[in-house]
Amino acid sequence: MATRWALNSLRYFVPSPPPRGKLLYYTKRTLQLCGLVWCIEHWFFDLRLCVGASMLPTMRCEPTLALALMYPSLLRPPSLKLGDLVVARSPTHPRKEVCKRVIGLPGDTVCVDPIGAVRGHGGWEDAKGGKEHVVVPRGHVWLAGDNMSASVDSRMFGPVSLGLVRGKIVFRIWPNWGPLGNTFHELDIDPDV
Amino acid sequence: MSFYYSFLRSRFRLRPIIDTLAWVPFGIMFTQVGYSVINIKGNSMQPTFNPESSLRKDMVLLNRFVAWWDVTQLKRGDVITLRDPTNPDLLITKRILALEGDLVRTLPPYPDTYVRIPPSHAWVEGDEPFRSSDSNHFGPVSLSLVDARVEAILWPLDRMRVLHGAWQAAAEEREGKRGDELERLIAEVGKRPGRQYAIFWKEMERARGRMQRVYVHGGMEGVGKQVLRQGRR
Repeated sequence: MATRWALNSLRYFVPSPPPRGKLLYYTKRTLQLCGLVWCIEHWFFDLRLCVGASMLPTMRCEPTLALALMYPSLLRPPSLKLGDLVVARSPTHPRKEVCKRVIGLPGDTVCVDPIGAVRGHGGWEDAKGGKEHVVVPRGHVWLAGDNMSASVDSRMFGPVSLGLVRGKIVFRIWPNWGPLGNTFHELDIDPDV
Repeated sequence: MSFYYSFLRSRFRLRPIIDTLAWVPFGIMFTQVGYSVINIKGNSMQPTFNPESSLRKDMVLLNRFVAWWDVTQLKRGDVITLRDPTNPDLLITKRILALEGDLVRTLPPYPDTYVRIPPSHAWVEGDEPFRSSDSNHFGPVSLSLVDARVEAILWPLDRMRVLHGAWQAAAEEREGKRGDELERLIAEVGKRPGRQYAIFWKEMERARGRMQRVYVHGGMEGVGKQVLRQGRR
């Protein structure tokens, strides 16, 4: 009953093509569908293919299909939390998008290079490996890949403006089905003890 | 639900409304991906936009193809809209003065006197230096933040024109190119004497003056090593 009602409503909203002028009709419908799909994938949710070893072990080297939420309000602090996986436009390659984890929000103090991977390799501000700390400026976030030894991230190109952050990854669809959330916990440690 | 449909159908002609609404997502996509028209707010790009003599905000045509298709097509002297790096929900309109590899002599409050633009970045400034929060505040911006290029002023009608010519020609001059752009523009504008000619040359002078602070491709003539080493203000 419900499906019949749904099909009937659909037939009202999307009637059958006219007997003549089918090409024009199908062109029109294709353009309208493209517009609708574009709006959904730009402002609601999108499926992203993530490739590369920079997010091991969260994501494997093979292409991984993930669901990303694109609402702009979700991508700004305070909705954007420390430890969220985000998709951002690369500051160094405008046509590429990178998938990294948010390690620092605006105003946080971040250690640039905990493992000394970019020491002497011309990393961002020539990081000294382990000791250098930086305060993330207003409107920017610090991104880092989970696999720090094989990731091009904020250690190389510095803090990333929030305007470049495009979406937040919440679910992995293929090859393993499961949520990809925020794994950070607040540590209750007294640094002086 | 079908009761409501038949009720509405009997009262209004729904078909044309639905047919129009079906085009709305496509229209939205076109304005974000193709061309769009917006109002310019603020005074940071005077006298190009919103000069003191104008009572209304300027309406301009934006070309968004450039931002997602090939952002390297942008040239020095283009007016662009971009997302403010410090406030991602704000769209600002500035002019590109320098691209990657260039050396720029900055204005206060930027801490370094000279800065070399990193790869895939640009130095943007407003035409009105006193009221503009631009690269002198937040440094070189990534080309990925560019939203669109401003192609033309559409309104008011007495200042309607395509924004292309003088600044790009001045930048080419600065680069040391033979000035093909300038010669072509002189040949074109020279055919239309009067106001167009005067506007073009006034803009050309302003552009030349502004580009004095940009050393395209980092040419160091005139910049002493001493000054560069001292760097900080």
